[in-house]
Amino acid sequence: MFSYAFMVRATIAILLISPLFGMVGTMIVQKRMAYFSDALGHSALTGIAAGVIMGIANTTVSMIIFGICFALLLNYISRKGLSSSDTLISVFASCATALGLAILSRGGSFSNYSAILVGDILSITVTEIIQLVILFAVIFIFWYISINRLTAISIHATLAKSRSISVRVMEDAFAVLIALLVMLSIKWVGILLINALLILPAASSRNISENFREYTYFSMIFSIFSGVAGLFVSYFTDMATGPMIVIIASVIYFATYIYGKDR
Amino acid sequence: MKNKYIFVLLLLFSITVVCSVGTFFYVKLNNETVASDDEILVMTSCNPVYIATLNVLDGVDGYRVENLSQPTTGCLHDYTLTTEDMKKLSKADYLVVNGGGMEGYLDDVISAYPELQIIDTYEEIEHSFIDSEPPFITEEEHDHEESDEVSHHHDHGDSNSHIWMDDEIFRYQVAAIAMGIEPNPNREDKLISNNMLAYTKKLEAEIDKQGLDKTMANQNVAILHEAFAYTAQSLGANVVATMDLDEERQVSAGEVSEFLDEIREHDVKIVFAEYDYGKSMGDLIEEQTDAKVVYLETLVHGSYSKDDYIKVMNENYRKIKE
Repeated sequence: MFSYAFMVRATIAILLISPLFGMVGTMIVQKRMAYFSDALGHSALTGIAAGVIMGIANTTVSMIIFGICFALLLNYISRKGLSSSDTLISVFASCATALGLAILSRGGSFSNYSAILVGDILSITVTEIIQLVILFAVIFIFWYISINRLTAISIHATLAKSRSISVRVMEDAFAVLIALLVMLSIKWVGILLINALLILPAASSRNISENFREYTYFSMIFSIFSGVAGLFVSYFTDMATGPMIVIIASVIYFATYIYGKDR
Repeated sequence: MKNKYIFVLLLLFSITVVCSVGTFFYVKLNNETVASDDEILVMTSCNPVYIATLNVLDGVDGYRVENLSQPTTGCLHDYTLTTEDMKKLSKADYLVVNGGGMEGYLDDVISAYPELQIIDTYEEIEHSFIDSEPPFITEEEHDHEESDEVSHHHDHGDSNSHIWMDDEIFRYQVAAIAMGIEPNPNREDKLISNNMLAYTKKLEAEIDKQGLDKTMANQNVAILHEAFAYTAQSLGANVVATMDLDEERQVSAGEVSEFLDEIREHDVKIVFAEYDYGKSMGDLIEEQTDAKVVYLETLVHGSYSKDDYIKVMNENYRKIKE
């Protein structure tokens, strides 16, 4: 199996992306930001559309820039508290998706971009793996420095503020981090499934964890396991990799749910 | 607490066992024969070039022709490679593609397998026309000839890459494939060029346009799939309105009314459409105008047999003639 260069690259990519999903997912679930990351995933279409309009050859750049702006704007408006955050996120996500679809389907050419809906980890190149390595390092450093502050904010924002933690800066930095992770991995995972990979391992881990350390470790283990097992099963059965990973992650979720419920 | 860790271990172990056993049986049930190491593996990207390659290598020992796993519905442009395709490509000696932007994954394949020899039929034909323009349909050409045409093309740069739908161009494709495959030093070289000549002659002799190239010459037609621009070209007809419909195409009311106006204005009597994505629009056209809608095959999906091209083209012409 590893005699194929594409499988080696795909396995490396999975080993880089999946622990990040597991780790960042814990905070997304903890801070109830599942809608937020979903909206970010959908906004990738608008990012590509913006790149196409501006004539940017590498649409990943336009996706990242748009994703960061989108995340910060969403945070800013949510803070204003004019409407409940789930409504706001839903409005933003729908608007971004519609805008992206409208622009990309101009002249009937949406079929050129439909591959991004399901993703394709098998076509990842060495340069793109290097991008993932950099992302991996950035997220790990950020996590190491900020995890205590992020946890404090997720438990009680006002209390965190009283301990001189800049809630606004931390929230914005975390939103930018999610935007980077989502936009850099969406080509490989796909818009339709990216949120499942962010949420499922963390939600499974939450079902059985008793403290934050366990929560993070279990989430990363579940995420890596689903990623690797999904890739191997898809290799032998010739099925799409993303859905296979999500199926395995879902099985883990249901098993941990039943176990956690009976404890 | 210990129970929890045992539970996680057991859970992951059970999933591993279930996945392994399931995969094992799945693979066993779907086991396919693979090319032996001394065979030259020629992969093709879609049904038309697969048929052409099968005929070019017919009876030539030491070659094995396989097509990439194809979707049963949908458009070729959207196709993404499966793990099975990637496995086959890593062992392939040649990849024969239609080209012209039809295979969106081609750049990924080239970067992943730099050793793989790619025969791009579109490019080969383009290069063979040194002193004249190749018979390809481009957007500029369309816009120039039919300035008021309602056109909604897939984006293949500026070209319409469904070139196999014109049987004359298909013959050029057959020749490009034969010339692109290097003769195996252990084989009789002439067998490939003889096959090429025999198949192109067969195409010329057996494709029966039933006089349509005379009766439909300069007649105005409208199309609901850009592949049929080449059908019209092969019959000498003028395409005055194009609406390229596929599973993702959402048409606006304005486009539909403009399209219907074009049909009326140019006195279009016949519209070429693909049944799967053009039926509803076809019904609407027949209801709103005097034009007749004919549902043709694009050859993208088929039975993958050697004589499929001739059979399908003749069937298309028969439907137009009716």
